[in-house]
Amino acid sequence: MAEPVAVAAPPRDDALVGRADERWLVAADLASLAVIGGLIFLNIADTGGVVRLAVALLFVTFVPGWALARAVGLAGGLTGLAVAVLSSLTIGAATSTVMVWANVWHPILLFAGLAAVSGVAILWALPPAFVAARLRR
Amino acid sequence: MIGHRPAAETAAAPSARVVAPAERRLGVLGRFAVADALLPVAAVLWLVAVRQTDIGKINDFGLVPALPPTFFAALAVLIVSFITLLSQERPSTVRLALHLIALVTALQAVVPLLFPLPQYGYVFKHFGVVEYINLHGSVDDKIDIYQNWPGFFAFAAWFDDLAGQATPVPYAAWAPVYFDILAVLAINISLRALAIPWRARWIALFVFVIGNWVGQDYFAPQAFAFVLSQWVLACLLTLFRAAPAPWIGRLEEFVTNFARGVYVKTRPLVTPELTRRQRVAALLAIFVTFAVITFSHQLSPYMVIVAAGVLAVPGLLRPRWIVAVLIVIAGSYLITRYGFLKTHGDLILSFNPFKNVENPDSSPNTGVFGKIVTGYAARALSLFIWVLALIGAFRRTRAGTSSLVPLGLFFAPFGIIFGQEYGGEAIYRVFLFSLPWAAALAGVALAPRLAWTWWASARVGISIAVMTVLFLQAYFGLAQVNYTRPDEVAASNYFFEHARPGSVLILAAPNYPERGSEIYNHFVVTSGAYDPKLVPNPEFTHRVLGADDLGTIENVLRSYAPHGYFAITTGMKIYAHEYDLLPDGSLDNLDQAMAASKRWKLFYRNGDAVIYELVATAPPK
Repeated sequence: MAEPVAVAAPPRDDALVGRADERWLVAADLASLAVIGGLIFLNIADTGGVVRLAVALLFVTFVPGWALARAVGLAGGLTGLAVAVLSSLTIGAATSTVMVWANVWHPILLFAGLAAVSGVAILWALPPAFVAARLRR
Repeated sequence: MIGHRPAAETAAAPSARVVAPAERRLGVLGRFAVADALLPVAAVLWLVAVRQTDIGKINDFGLVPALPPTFFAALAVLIVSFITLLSQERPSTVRLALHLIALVTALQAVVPLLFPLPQYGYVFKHFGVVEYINLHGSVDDKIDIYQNWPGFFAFAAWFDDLAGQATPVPYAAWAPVYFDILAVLAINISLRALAIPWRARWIALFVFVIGNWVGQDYFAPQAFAFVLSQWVLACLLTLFRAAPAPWIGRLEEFVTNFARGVYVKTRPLVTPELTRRQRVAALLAIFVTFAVITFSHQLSPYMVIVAAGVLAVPGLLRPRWIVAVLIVIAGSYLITRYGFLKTHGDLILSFNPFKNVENPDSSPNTGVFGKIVTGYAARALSLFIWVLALIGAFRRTRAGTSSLVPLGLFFAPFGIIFGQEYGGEAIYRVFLFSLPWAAALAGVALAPRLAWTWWASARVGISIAVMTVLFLQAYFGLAQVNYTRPDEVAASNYFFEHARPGSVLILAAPNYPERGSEIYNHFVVTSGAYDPKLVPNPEFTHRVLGADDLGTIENVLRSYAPHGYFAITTGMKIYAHEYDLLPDGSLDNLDQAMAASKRWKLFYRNGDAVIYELVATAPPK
C-alpha cells in the first residue's frame, strides 16, 4: 500500500447552503408582487395574449412557492430557488387536483386565494429584507 | 439562518479546487468576454436559419435535410462560445446559464416556430382531458387512464383559466423549452450536491440537453412528473444527504484505492443543517410533491423511489424512513386505483423485462432507411453518453472522489424494466431518468482535471459536436411522422362536432390527433390509451389494403360499437411508409374502395384527411 495522500476538503459552496443576499430577496419579492398584481389586472380586464400567458406561467411556476420559501426561511441561494419552483408547481397541481376530485372547480377563486396568501407572506417578509439590503449598501 | 454540519465524504478531485466555483457571484458579468460577441452571432444565425427552413424538404430522414447550413453554423458558434467560457478561470454564472438557455431554445424552439401545431398526434389526447376538466370541473375515473391520474391535467386546466386560454393548443408546442429549462435548473442543484466540479457540471448540463433525444418533454404528464422528480431528488440530495454507513465507507475506500493505487482518506463535505422548522417544511414539501407526482403519472413515482432507495441503503439519505413514506404514498394511491387497474392492469405492470424494453419507435431494425438511420443515431448517442459516463466514473474514482451516488442513480432506473412496460414507454423512462447522472459522469470524463488546455477544448468541442449531430437526427429524424397537419386537426374537430355520440372511430393507422376534444368521452373510449387502429395489427400490414378488407374492418368496428367511423389521413400514410408497415398507396387504395362501397358513406374530406361513416345496419355476410 502506498503512503497516504493528503487532499484538502472541497470548497464550501455558499450557494448550496443558501446564504441569502437581501438584495436578491427584495428583487424576487418585488417581482412576485408585480406578477400577482399584473395577473389580477389581466384577469379583471379579461385580456388574452402572450403577455397574460407569460405572467400566468411566472405565477404558477414561482410565486406561491417563493412566498412559502420566504415564510419558512428557505429563500436563500439556489436552495431557495429550488424550494420556490418545486413548491409552486406542487401547490398549483395539488390544489387544482383537489378541486377536481371534490367537484368544486373554481380556478379564479383558487388564484385569488393563492395570490392573497402569497402577497401577504411576501409583504410580511419584505420590510426586514429591504432594511437589510439598504444597510448592506 | 441555515448553518453547516460536516458529513463524511470521500475527497473531491484536486481539480475541483484548482478553479474555484467562481460563478457564485451571480449577476456580475465582469469584463468583456469573447462569448459576449459569439452568443449574439449564434442567436442571429439561428433566427436566420429558422426563417430559411423549408418544411417542405422534410423527408424520411426527418427535419435535418430541411435545415439550412446557417442552423448548423449557429450551433457550432454556440458550442465554440461555450468552450471559450469554460476556458476562463472565473466565468459568470449568468453567461454560462445564457448559453444553456440558448442551447435549449436552439434545439427545442425550432418546432413551435416552424410548425403551426404541436407535434405528435397523440398529444391531442392530453388536450382533450384538460378541456374536459375545464368543461366539467371534475374527472370520471371510469373513462380512461388519464382521468385516474389527473394531477397534470388539472394543473393545466387551472393554468388555462389563469392565462385566458380555451385549450392548451396555442402554447403546448413550447412545453419542451419550459420543461427542459426547469429540469436543468434542478439537475444543476443535484450536481452541486454531488460535488461535481463547475466545468464538469456545466458540460454535464449541455450533455443532458443534447442527450435527451427521447422526446418525453412534450405537453404530457410524464414531462411534468420528470421535472418534479428532479426537484425532489435535488432537495433530497441537497438537504437530506448524510454520511454513508461505515460499511459503504469502507467499500468506497477500497474501490477508490483500487482505482487510484494509493491510500485516500475520507474527508468532510459541507451539507446544510436545517432548523427543525425548516426540516419539517422541506420534508412536507418533498412528500406533497411526491404525492403530486404519484397522481400525475403512473411510472415516475417508482423511478423516484428507486433513486431514493439507492441513496438510502448505504445511508447517504437520512432519515431512511423518507423512502418508506414515499412507498406508502405511491402504494396508497395505487390501491385507490384498484378498480381501474383490475381491468387495465397491463398498462402499469408487466414482469417481462425483455418485452418491456421493446419500442418500435426507437428500434433501428424496422422501417425505411431514414427511420433506420434515426434509430441508430439514437442508440449511438445513448451509447456515447454511457461510455463517457463509465469513463467519468473511473476518472472521478481515480481522483479520489466517490462515484457511488451518481453511478447508483445512473443504474437505478434500469431496475424498472423488470416491472413496468407502459405501452413501450418504459425504456424511454429508464433512459430519461438515468440521463442526468450519466451526463454528470460524462461531464467529469470530458472536463480537464487541472488547467484548461487546447486538448480540453478539442475534446469537449468535438464530443459535444458529435452528440449534437446525433441528437439532431435522433430527435428530429421522425419529424415527418410527428408533424401534425392543420387539416387533420380540422377533420378531428369536425368529427367531434358532427359525429353520432356513442359511436366509435377506427383509425387506419397510428398518428392522428385523436380524442382532442372536451367531449371525447361521448364516443367509445377503448381500454387502451388510443383509439382502435388497423395498422400495425399483423392482419393489416405488409400488403395492399382494398375492397377485400372492408368486411373485416366493419367487423372490427362492430366489435366496439354498432355504429362508427373510419379515418385515413396523410399522417397515417406517412407513418405506414416510415415504419415500412404498408406498401405506398395502400391506404389510398383502401380510401377508393371505401368510397365505392355502399356500406360506407363519405362523412368528411379535406386535403389531408378523410372520414367514412358506416351506414350499413346489418353486419356483412
